[in-house]
Parts: sequence; structure tokens; C-alpha cells
Amino acid sequence: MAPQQLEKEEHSPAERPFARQLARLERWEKLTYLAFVMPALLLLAVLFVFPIIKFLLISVFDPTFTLDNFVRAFTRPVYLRIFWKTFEISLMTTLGALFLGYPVAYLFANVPPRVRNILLPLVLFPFWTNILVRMYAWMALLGHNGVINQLLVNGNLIGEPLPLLFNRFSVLVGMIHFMLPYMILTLYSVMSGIPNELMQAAASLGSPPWKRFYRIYLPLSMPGVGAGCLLVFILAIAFFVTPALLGSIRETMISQVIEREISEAFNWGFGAALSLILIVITTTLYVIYNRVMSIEKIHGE
Amino acid sequence: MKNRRQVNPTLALVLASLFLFTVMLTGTAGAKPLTAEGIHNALAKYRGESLTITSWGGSYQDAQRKAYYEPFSHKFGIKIIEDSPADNSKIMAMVKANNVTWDVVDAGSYKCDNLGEEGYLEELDFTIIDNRDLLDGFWSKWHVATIAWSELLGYRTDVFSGANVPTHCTDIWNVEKFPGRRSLRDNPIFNIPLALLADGMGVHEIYPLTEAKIQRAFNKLDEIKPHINVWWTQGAQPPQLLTDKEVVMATGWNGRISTLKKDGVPVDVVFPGSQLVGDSWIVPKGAKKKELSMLFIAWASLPENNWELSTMIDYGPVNKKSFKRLTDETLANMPISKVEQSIICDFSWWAHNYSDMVERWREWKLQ
Amino acid sequence: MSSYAAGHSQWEKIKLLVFYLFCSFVFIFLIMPNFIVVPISFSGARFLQFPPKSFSWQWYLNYFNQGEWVRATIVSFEVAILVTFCATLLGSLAAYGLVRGRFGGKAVINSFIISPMVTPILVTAVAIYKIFSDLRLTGTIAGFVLAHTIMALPYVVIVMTANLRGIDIEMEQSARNLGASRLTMLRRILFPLALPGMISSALFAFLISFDELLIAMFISSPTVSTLPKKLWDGIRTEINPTIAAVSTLLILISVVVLVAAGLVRRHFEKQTK
Repeated sequence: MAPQQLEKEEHSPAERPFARQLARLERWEKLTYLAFVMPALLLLAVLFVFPIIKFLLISVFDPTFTLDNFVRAFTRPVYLRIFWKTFEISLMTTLGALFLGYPVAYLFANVPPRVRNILLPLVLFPFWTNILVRMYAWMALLGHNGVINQLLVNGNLIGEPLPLLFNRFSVLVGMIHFMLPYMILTLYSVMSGIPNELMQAAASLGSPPWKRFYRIYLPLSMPGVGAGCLLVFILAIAFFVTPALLGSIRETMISQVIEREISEAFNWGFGAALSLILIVITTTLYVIYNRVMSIEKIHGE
Repeated sequence: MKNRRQVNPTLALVLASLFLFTVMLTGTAGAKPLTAEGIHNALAKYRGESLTITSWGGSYQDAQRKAYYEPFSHKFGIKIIEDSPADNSKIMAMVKANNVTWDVVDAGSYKCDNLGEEGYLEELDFTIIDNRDLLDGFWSKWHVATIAWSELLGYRTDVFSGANVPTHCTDIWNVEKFPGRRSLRDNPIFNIPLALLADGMGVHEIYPLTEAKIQRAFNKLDEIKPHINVWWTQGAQPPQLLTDKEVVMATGWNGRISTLKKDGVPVDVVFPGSQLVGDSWIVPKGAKKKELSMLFIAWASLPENNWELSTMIDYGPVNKKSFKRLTDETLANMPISKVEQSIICDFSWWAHNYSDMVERWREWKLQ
Repeated sequence: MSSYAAGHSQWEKIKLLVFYLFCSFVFIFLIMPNFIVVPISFSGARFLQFPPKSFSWQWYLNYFNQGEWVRATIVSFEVAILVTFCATLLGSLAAYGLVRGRFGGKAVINSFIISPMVTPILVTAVAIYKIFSDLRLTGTIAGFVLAHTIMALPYVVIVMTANLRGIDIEMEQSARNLGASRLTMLRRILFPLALPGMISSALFAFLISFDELLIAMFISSPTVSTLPKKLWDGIRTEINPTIAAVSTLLILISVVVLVAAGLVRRHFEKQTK
């Protein structure tokens, strides 16, 4: 009896227009937020998504409908191996960049602005150096007769030069070096929003340093960690210049294959198929990332 | 009495057609390509126009500019607009987009037939271009070679000197006699024929490649694979690797390694066992200045024009008549002078099999 | 108690020292290649050589003498600055809408927005080339700006969404409740809070555009070309040491600009005081 009465009260004539107004406001709110997204979306849809889809369709219309390209990608073991290798290297790069970048970002967020303004350009230095020159610099540093080996051998620290170049190590060095600025800046942009007072308050309440960090700072910096790792990982997957110039043939990454298929072997259909697989995988990762980040936010609140 | 003076109309018609037909036949069959003078005259009407030529940039294009583009521009009053690099995927994208902005392109010879047969190139007009004196195999209906150069072995002379120098490109397999770090290209086009040579085949037996030969080549490559420290992908790498002494032996392209020698770096090249390849002029399908492109190619292939580049870089002319214009000293460094000891690349075989070979190479290298 | 405190602070000092050492190592790692590049740019050899055996200004002269190097640099800067504005603006707005808004289809919209980042660059170049050809945008500054903005958008969105998620919506809501219009609220409350994120995004956008090579190779023309494309010229035969000179010049310019910006800021701060 009572619930029905309540229902009747909610829908009393006096309240119906209010409910409608509320609904209209909500819709207006929704539309406004959508409007913010529109310009970027339109630009991308017209000048990017549409042409890319046309290109990717070549993977199945090569020229008539065929699934051969995808069959080839999935059945020949070499491609699965290359995909795996690509993810392996990207993951290692991401973790390396996080490990090196987190402390530096923390430093940036917690030093006075004057110091920060001196240190910040250092983070941007890699960008001013063209990738070709950077590759050569790593060769000169890590090479058989490079700076590091010469120092070690002439200083009698080792007998034989170390194999620091043209292997997994040099590829990771090259890639992490490229990615670090992205990781540091992304982390910093979130960390700078974490108020110092929080940590000070916790300290004054007697919380030991490691606990303060683990329970307060780390969780608050998570959006930055997530974004930084995602950014670096996705960037790393797309790399092909660095592995080609600094790695051995065991470090072949999928973008090198796609590049070769399109510009040397003229297999646009196969190249498109591999690209599509790559796009699907990375987009899925991004969607998962967003889900996780949204859920965390809700739980955090 | 009746039709003595009148000619039988049917017979006349038949005879006339036969006559015309024969004239036409001999006319086209005997249609000689334009002579130098013919080319000059044809180019006169293009005075004031422009032509877009795309090549590879860097010192190669600088040399081409001095040897071809500037003289051509000067002589005929035609502006040459240069672009670079001559990327195949851009050619394909241009043709597909119906927006061909390049008229003449310098491309690796082994890609040309493939590009042409897939519909991306204009067929060359041999009533304009004279191909009779060009090296065999260095032209087809899709391309005409502009230079001939070698993929060969380079090595450090401060490591291997005196009696102990590599004398054949296959010496890279000999790790006992020539120890040290080495580099091969991450590409099958020279490695497969070289492996066959290393396995005992003669330079003339290499092409056409068969399944058995390819298998044999990969087996031979398995031997040297663990000793290769660097697999290079860009043409600029081998000279840099040798300069830095990162490796002591590397396969590479003769022009650039020879230039290092001239610059005083202790390197030298080994011609025996090298593979002769080329770069060719092609015209993308739908190029706006089609006839002018043909005329340019014809002009650049004339013996009096085809030799000047060779004085600047050690790349050989492809017109047999041009050799006379080079000094003996220059010729000695030309890949062309070592033809008997070189493998002559079969461009058309590679054009048809490149895609498969790339995949097999990929599988082999990741084993 | 005091001995515990003293010992405690010693341990703290050690940890701090280790922390600073670690950060210094990372900084050195970041700028190490530049220690190689700068000397090379003064090399007298005709190829890359380290350490250089002779001194010469030839590569700097080469850069300034050849009009196309300087032209390409100007185009690169022009495009990059425009891209910075467009990408940061569009991306920040989009991020704001995505983080605050509650509408369906977010997964699809998100995928659209990051698609340039997850698509192999050669595929992007070929696809964009086709549509730009149809629209007559190849070989134009506008074309470059549009293409690079597309490439930079995902980065801006990712950084800004991370940033905005950390900003409490309650601040915006209270401002609105107190009577501020949406515009005022954005300008006075959100913008200052989002500034660090926007600066990072702007930097990303600038550098992505400035360093971008592959799309540039496709949509440039002999007259409108960017620096990275020029730097790759001739890679088939040699690595032109002019690129070492260019890199050194760029670092010099960036240092000068930052110092100048710092001085300007301090001047203004003094004035407002």
C-alpha cells in the first residue's frame, strides 16, 4: 500500500514538469560535454578514420573479397613470433621508462620552480636531436670501439669489449631514451597536482616515509603511471627505426614487417591486414585502460 | 579494247592497301629511335616548361644535378624541379590517388618490372629512347638503367693487408683466415647469390634461381649466420660501420665505400664475386609530362651524356658507347670493367619473386 | 630519543643521496647522446666521425648557405607552433568532455581519438596522402598542420584525461552553484588547475610535429618541406653530418628561448610584486 502511495506522490501533477525540466537539463549537460568532444572527433573522423578504413579494406578486398591475408598472418609462425617479440620489447621499454622516469618526475614535482626550470630542458634534450643522429651517438657510445668500451678496456677493467650494441640491450637503451621524456612529462603533469600538504599532514601524524609514499602518494600518482605506461607502450609497438638501426635480426618488430610489405614487397593487402591486427590489439588495450581508470576513480571516491 | 587503259578497281584497291601496309610495316619496324639531333629538335618546343625528377637526395643527387639536370636545363631552357626520396610506396600512392606529381623517377632496377606490371608505370617509348647500346638486361619496357653499380665486399685495410687480403666477396665466409666482426645486409637480394657462389657455383650459373638453389643458399647462409654481428638495412650503414671499425668486413654498395677510400679511410673494395645491379629511370603512370620525360631519358642515355656521373662517383654508365669516354683509371674502379667476375643481377626474376623471398628471408632470420 | 632521531636522519640522508644520484644518472643518460653530437658537428671529416679528428665550421656553413635547410627549418617551426595551439585546444576540450560527460558510446569515441597513435605510421601516411590529394592539401602548410594535429591529438587527450581525472569535479560544481557561468568556471578554476597538463600536452604536440618524418615525406612538395625530411635525404648513401650541426643549433635555440622565457617571467613577477 505504502509504496504505491509514494509512487503516486512522485508523479503528482505539481512535480511532473519539474521532472521534465530536470531531464532537459541533464540532456543539455550531456550535449554540452559531447560538444566539447565534437571538434576533435570530426577532424579525426573525416581526415583520418575514413581514409584509414578505406586503406584497411584492402586487406580483405585484394582486389576481390579474400581472407588470405589474415590466414597468412595467423598461420605462419614467423608472424606470431614477431608479434610476441614486439610486445616483449615494448613491455620491457615501458617498465624501464617507468623505473627511470618515476623518480625524476617526483623530483620535478617537489623542487622549487627555479630548480625545475633548469632541469626541465634537460628532459627535452633528446627531442632536439634527430633520430638518425641519436642512433649514431648510441653507436659511438656502445660500439665495439665506442666510448664506453674504450674507457673500460683502457682502464683495465675488462679484457674484451662488451657486446653493448646490435642486440636487445642497445634496442632497449635507444627506445627507453626516446620514451623517457614522454613518461616523465606525463607523470609530472599528474604529480604536480598532488598537494604537498597531504604528505606533510601524514608525516605529522607519525606515518613513516615508506608508508606515506605507498598509501598516499603512489595511489594518487596512478593516473599518471597508467597514462605514461599506456603512452609509452603504444608508442613502442609502432617503432621500427630504432630496432632496425640498433638491433640484431632477432629484434625484428611488427612495424618493420608492415613497412617492408607496403613499400618493398608491394603487398598492400597483407600490410593492411597486419596493421588491422595491430590496431585492434592496441585499441583493446586502451579501452581496458580506460575502464580500469574509471573504475579506480569510482572506487577512490 | 574495253578495259585496256582502265585499271581494275578491286585490284588497285588491294595493291594500294598492300603497298600502304608494307610501307607502314617497314616504317614502324625500321622506326629508329631519335638521334641526338632528333632529341634536341623535339626538346625545342618544350622550352620554358618544367620537369619534375625525383631521386635519392644526398651526394648522389648532387652528382646527378651536375651531370644531368643542370646541363639539360641550360641547354634546353627547361626547368628541372627536383624531389626526393624516390619512395616506391609514394609512387603507388600517387598513381592510386590520380595525383602524379613526379615525371621521372630514379628507382632501383629490380623493382621496376614489378611496379610496371602492377600498373604503376608508363611504358617507355623506344621510338624516342635509344636502347640499342645499353647493357643487356639493364632495360625493359618499363625502365632504362641510368647507372650500374655493385653490391660487393668492403674491408679495413689496416686489419687485412699485404698478402692476407680478401680477394673474393665470398671470403666473408672464411672466418679462420679473415677473423673479425662482419656485417651482411638484411635482405636476400645479394646474400642468396653470394651464398651460392660461396658454395661453389659459377657467376653465370646463378640465375635463374630455383627452389633447389635457394635451399642450398640458405644452408650455406646458416654457416655464416652466427658470425654476423650486424645486419644492415640502410645503404649508409656499411660505410659508417667500416669507418668506425665497428666491423672489419661488410657487404655494401661500391660507390660510397670507394668515396671513403678517397677520403682517406683505410678501406678497400673487392670486386670478384660482386653482383652488378642498377638504378633506372621510370615514368609513373599518369605523369603529366609524359613525352618530355621520355625525351629526358633519351637524352640522359646518349653516350655523350651517360658518362659524366661516373667521373664523380664510381658508378658505371650503362651505355656501352660511353666507356670510351672514361679514362682507364676511372674505368678500373668501375663495376662495369669487372663484368666477367660479377654476377649480373636478373632484375626480372627478382621483380616476380621478391615478395616471396622477403617472407622466406624473414622466416630464416628468426629461426 | 635523540640518538634514534640522529640515526633516523642519517638514514634519511643516505636515502636522499641515493635518490639524487639516481636522478642525476637519469639526467646524464638523457643528455649523453648530445655529448657525442655536438663535437661531431664541428668535425672536419666528410662523414660522421667520433671523436672528430679535425675542426671545421663546414657543416654550419653548409646549413646556412643552402637556402633549403633554413627554409625547411622555418616550415617546421611554423607548422609545429600552429599544431601546438590546435592540438592542445582540441585535445583538452575533448578530454574535458570525455572525463566529465556521461554519454554512451565512449569506448567508440575513445578508440577514434587514439586511432592515429595505434595506426602504423606508414599506413597513416599513405591513407592521408590519398585524401589530401583529393582535397588539394598536399604541399601546403595547412595540410601539414591538419596532419600533425591529427597525430598529436591522442597524446594530448591521454595526458589531459589523466590530469582532469585527478581534479575534483566538486570544485567545478561549487563554482557553478555559486553562480559562475560555465565559461568563467573554466577560465578561472579549471584552467589554472589543468595548466601543468596543458603545458605537457603542448610540449608533446610541438615535438611530435617538429620531429615527424614519414607523413612529411608523403605530403611535402619540393617547395614546402620539413626539417626531418631534409635530414633523411641521402640516407641511402650517407649520413650527412649537417644533421649534427642542425641538432646542436636546435638545442642552442631551445636553451636560449627557455632562458629568455625565464627572465621574462621573473621580470613580470617582480613587477606584480
